[in-house]
Amino acid sequence: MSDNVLEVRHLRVSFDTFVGKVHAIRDVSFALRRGETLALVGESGSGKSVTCRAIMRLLARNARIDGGEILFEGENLLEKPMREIRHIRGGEIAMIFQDPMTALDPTMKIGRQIAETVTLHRRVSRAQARARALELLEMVGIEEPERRYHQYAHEFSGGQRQRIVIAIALAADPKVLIADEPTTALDVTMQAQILDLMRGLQKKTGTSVIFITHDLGVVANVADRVAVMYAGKIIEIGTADEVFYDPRHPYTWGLLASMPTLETGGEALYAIPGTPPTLIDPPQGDAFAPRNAWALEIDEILEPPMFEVTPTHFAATWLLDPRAPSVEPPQAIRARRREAGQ
Amino acid sequence: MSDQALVEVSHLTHRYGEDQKGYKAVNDISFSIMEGETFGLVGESGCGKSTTGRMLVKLLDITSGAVRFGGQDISRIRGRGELLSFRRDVQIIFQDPYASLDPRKKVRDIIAEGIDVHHMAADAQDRERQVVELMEAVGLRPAHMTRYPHEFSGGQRQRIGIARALATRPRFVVCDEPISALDVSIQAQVVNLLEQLQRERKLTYLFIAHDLSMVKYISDRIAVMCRGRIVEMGDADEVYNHPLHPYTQSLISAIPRPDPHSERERVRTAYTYQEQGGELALREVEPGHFVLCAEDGR
Repeated sequence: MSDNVLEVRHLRVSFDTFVGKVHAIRDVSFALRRGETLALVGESGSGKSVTCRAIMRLLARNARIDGGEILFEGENLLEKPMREIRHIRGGEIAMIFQDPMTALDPTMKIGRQIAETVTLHRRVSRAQARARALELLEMVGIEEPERRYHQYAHEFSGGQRQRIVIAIALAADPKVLIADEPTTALDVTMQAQILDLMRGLQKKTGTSVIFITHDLGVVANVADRVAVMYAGKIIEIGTADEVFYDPRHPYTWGLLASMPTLETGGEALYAIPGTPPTLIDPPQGDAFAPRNAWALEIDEILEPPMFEVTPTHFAATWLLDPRAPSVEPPQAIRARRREAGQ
Repeated sequence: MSDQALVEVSHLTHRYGEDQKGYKAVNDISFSIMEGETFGLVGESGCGKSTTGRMLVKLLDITSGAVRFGGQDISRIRGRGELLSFRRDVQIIFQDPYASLDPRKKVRDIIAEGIDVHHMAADAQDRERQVVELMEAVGLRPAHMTRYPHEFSGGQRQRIGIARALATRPRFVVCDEPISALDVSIQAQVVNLLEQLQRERKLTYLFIAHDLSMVKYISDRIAVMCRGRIVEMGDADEVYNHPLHPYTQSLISAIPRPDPHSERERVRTAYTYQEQGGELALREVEPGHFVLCAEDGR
């Protein structure tokens, strides 16, 4: 068995829209290791959700996969017939969506919704499915599962609904769990509880998780490894410690430096200037160059390749080329390096 | 920041529903906002922070209690003239830059709405000049004034909303979650802009948000709301570094920080609401630091 349960290779996805072809994913490659949590971070439109929808084969009808492979246990999902995909989706690879208010069926008792997923993917009797559903409810921290089994989604709070969504996702013991902003719609205290729950469950089940979020605080909490996306590409990837304490890409610098910490006060916040590019006509060269205070001349002409920082840490910036001038990252990033060095 | 209160809120209550059984979204809260100050109002959804903001700008009626703006009781405003003058001085920036701009109006006319209502332009040329000046002040290109809202990104739309609020040259602006719909890299831009405009135009802000780190950064003082009440209030650093109310403690302990080391070691404090006996009131436990508690101190 390979170390990687899932591998995305040179994925390209575009959308046909009335204003033109949007190149949403432009050559994305990464691997998900067994039992790890990989966070995909980026702003809206960076391609993190599209990447995961491509894995689940849940792309909209105007989407086109222009190239690449998605290997699940060594087999390319993009070549499989939908019949097989339907078995893998929800069974081997499950997904948690952002909005727990709309992810559940309002007209079906929640117990049945969980049991349905169990029977769909596993050969079990109705009684066994019911027992499994109760076990799952208990596992995700719903009190009095016997009673709540018979309730409808509207009888639960937002946090509890997200717990139920997690129970459904875990119903068939998936090997991979894709969580798309699972806590963004929740209040911070509820978010903290759900994050604790997810970490606990992962330890217990050994599921590999892709966690999509735009919140770097959440990333620091859940991730073993982090991939930062910008304009349809992964621009930096590494272990959580590498990305948070020794980031190498100016975009990662900007994201981390623009968040106020306990100590920030008085001076203006560091802000990345400008806005992300439209991907209808992706710019020549590095897509981040127009917003990059450290851009080099070559950034305008040629896209930077992934440079290796350590065997686990890569970043796509020409600043890592041996011929590049050495530059000083923002104050907040230098402070992070010092902190980690201690 | 002066020591003159611009906004004084006393025993403010708002009840949704007609009769006595209605739900008290805001329950007997009192605070003052000093001239030139940024006062942060934090809490989770349903705590009453937006209801409070809306009462302060007279978008919602006050059930009981009073709000004074520049010494005047805003529920005693009578007649069109007085109301217009209040509306000129007090503006609001909304959370959702997609829903709060009229999609059928050009940006120029959205921004100039206040100028038109209050007859603040001498002629068409003067109106245009003011719009250009406002767009430049918030970092938009005046050349884009004939475009429609959908042609702008979220961050740019929020700048349009800010320009619209500033058009009447207000003294007090309620910022109701102005950055929570924006991307991380754009949030810092908008916060910096709000701070710069405050300095240049001597504005007073009520900054409503659920993102504690950003509120702490922008605010001079903070009030934490829970279930319609202010449970803690004081200097921003003081409340953040030495929270006294268990709800504030749990809220602060729940914020994930972009720092894996501290996240791995963090211990969260859970807070469960319980009915407390005794007369609850905001009591000053340290100079300028107030906590909601009973007479005996908890």
